[in-house]
Amino acid sequence: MSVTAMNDFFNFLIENIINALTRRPRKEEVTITIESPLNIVRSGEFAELRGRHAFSPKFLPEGMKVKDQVEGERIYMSWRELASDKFFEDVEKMFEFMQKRAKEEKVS
Amino acid sequence: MRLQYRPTCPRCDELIELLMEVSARTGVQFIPEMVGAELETHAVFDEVRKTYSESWIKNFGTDKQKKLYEKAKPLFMHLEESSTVPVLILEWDADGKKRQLVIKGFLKEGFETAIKNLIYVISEITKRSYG
Repeated sequence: MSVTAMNDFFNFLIENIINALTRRPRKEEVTITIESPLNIVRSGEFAELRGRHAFSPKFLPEGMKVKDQVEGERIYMSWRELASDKFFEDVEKMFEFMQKRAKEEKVS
Repeated sequence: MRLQYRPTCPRCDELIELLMEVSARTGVQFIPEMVGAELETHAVFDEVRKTYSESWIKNFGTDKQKKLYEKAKPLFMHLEESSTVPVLILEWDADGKKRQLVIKGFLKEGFETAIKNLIYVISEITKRSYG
């Protein structure tokens, strides 16, 4: 093997290694659908790189992995509702509603 | 407890400081999460943004929201493109299912009662999920 061919080969090898080490995350949209029942799907090779912390596997609950589906419920509220005096009643109603739902789901 | 914020939002900074204090008092983990795709190589949107879309309002909206949507469709279309910050998300497990409470916006007026209410909710959640 000539010196130039060897040089080319090593250049090719080093470039490939650098590319593999410094691969960039692709631009992907986070797929979170929808409220009731909530269905979170974490997909994609670089799912753990999305977001600062929230999608890091370190912060996932125990027994959950990337690409798992989780069912649940999501309730929306405004800051004004949080700051109102009626909030305590609303929270009680919310928990009652959630308990009812859970019972219904268990029965069905 | 997560807070979705943008670096250019002064209200978010105030809320982050308050929530740090709440986190220190209650022992609940607090994670600030930056949203908006301008500075990132990947797109991350806030969780409230889609609630202004037609499909969401038709599926999950209240009657009042549905009426409002018919009246002010162009406004909602504009809102759908913009992002809402700050968005506070309380996340907990109940019977193996994920429950989320999403609180959008922040007002300095009456924030003391709001923080008290927030601590009350956190205590209720921990009581119900562990007790």
